[in-house]
Amino acid sequence: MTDTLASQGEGAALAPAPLDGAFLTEKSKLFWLAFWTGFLTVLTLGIYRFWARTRLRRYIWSAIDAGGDSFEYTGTGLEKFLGFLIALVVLAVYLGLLQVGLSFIGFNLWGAVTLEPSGPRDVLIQLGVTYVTGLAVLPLIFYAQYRSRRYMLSRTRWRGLRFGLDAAALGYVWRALLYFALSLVTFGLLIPLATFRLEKYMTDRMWYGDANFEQEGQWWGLYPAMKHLLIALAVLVLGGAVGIFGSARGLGTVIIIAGSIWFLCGLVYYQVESFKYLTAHKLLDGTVRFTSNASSHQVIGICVLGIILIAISSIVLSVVLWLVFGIVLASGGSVLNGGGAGIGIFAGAGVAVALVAGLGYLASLVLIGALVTVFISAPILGHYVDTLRVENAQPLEQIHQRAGDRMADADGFADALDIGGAF
Amino acid sequence: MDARYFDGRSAQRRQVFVSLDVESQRLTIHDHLGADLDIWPLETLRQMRDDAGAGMVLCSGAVDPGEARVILANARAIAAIKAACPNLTKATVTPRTWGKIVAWVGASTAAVALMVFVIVPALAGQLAVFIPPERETRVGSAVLRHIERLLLDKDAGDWRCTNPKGQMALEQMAQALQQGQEFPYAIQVGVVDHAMINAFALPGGHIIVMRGLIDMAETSDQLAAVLAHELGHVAQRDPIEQALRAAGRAGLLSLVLGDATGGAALALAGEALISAKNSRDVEARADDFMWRKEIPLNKRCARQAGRAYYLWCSGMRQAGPHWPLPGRR
Repeated sequence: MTDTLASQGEGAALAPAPLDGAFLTEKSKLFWLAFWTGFLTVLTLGIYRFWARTRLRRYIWSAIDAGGDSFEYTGTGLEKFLGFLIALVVLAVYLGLLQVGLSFIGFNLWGAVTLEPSGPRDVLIQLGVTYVTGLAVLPLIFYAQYRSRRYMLSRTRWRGLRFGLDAAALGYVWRALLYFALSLVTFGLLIPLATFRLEKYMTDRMWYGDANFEQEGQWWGLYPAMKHLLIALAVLVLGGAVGIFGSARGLGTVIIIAGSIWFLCGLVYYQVESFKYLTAHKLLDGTVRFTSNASSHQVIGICVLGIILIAISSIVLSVVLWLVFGIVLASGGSVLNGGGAGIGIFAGAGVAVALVAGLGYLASLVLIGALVTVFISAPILGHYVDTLRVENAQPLEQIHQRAGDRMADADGFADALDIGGAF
Repeated sequence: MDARYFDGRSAQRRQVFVSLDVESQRLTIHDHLGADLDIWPLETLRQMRDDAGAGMVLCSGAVDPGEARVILANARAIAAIKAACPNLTKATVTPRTWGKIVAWVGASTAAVALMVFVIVPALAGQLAVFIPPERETRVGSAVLRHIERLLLDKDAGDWRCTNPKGQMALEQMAQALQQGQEFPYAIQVGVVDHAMINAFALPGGHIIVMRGLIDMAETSDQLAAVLAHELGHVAQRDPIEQALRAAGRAGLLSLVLGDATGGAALALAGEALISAKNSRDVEARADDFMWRKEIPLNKRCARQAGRAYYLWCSGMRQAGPHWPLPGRR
């Protein structure tokens, strides 16, 4: 029996150009997925986190729609777990040897400069020894960033074709170190150079199927995005000056608080505006262009609203927890007062109290994590997707599949070093 | 039934119709001209899980999902597929995969254990000898100042007990215990005004005795035993070696556990466990030093207690003051 439910459709409809992005999620579905996988992660002492991240990504990717077709995430929890084990061995050996070696050098240098080790130069050496460890991890962090981006792209498909990133993590590491140092010594003035060059390095090595991306534009094109950061700095300096030189301490503090808030918003503005500039100057396969109409007001709005919602939920949650806690305490106490069988019962109540407190603490952490996903991370991603447009999608049809990228270590380094974005 | 089809070779989206053949257990995908694009056995059909869309994304492959995708939007079609395909949500893990998991978990555990329990301690032991004693003394003074800051609850006042008589008695005791032994640096004994029952050795020959320990001591022998134990640490340059070991394994456990909720507490517990395991031999060696000093003590009980300053807790009674008790502040 052949069961043909419906006849042929409207035929091979060509995708209309341009294509618009759309982010289609149900908040409740996303919340329960984030909460449940977070709960399982706690229950398994963290082992489930690889599968949790996989499931969350599968959901989020499938919610991203471009021109009616959704993205697909093909990564698996198992490959992440095995990748983590690989990264763990490498990092354990590297960090173990490094830290013993650095401490040895540190102990040998200690007090080498001055006789009295409380001198400022000695403090500097001690600080140096501390920060050298951090600096020694920095190349690994950049390496992990590139590898995890490569892993993520190789597991992302749209219309059946894979994305990809060339295997070129080492080139990224030394460039990132260089631009990081340049930004640092210029007190942040060269941040646009770092942002642009690193994004260009990655974009130029990025693929959709057999089509290559290109990053055009100039690094100084990102300076307008720095606008609010510079204003905020000026406000902060003004506040400091008023506080120190003028005698108006209170006014100075108010100005400094305002400047700090401005600075935070300036960071978001830089993020959004640099994303828009970089997106507008991206080119796929020499012909396809992109536009982003993301708005920093909207992103800041999402953050503020999300923080308010999460704060309210946290307060409600802690009141409920304290009530439960109080009931357990009271019941334990009443037994203690009534009966004379003192210590045994008290110990029992103590265990119950500790158990409730511990479980409540873990549950609220998982809950807050899920709320952050639903009210902050996902809506921000959604805003970027909703405002993204592929200008001329016609040439996309000519693109063909690329070979898969195995990557045995998956994003293990990023996981072990605790880096990576919201998803 | 209507569907969208991606062959996984090009980015073209195709409107197709798929026919479900229950008898031959096949799903056939036709293009709009009626030609067969693909034929999938029903038992290999898998549904993409955690999908946010309202439709159903299908692929074919028991272990590997393959490249092609069929996307159904029609509710009746989805229901028909669900009824006909038994394995839509089945995840297959082959024995080979299990073998791989076991091998990798075993190998990585062994490698990390080798690092923590063999390589780092061995390296620390080798390197500790090369740190010049005078540098180690400076490290010790710095650590001492740090502890000073931690323990000092009063804003002003001396945190050390400075009764000259007591200090002299303690130094005499330390001198007597040092006889016949060469130390890389001068031993500096001090008493800290703190109720904690403890004593410890720092890098560079600093030995700190807490006031609580002296208060608790019933005979001077008991205090001497503790002092001898700590001198044993100093003789073997244990404190600096311990510092190197701690540096080598710092952060390793938080690496293993990731930033999972509650992971930090677990990492701390694990850290304590590792250092307990590592320090057992070290403590035993320090005790050996103490035994060689032949302080008249109930050795059997002490050995059972493991660490010398647990002696007081076990309620031992050993008569005869062989050493003058240092005075209190």
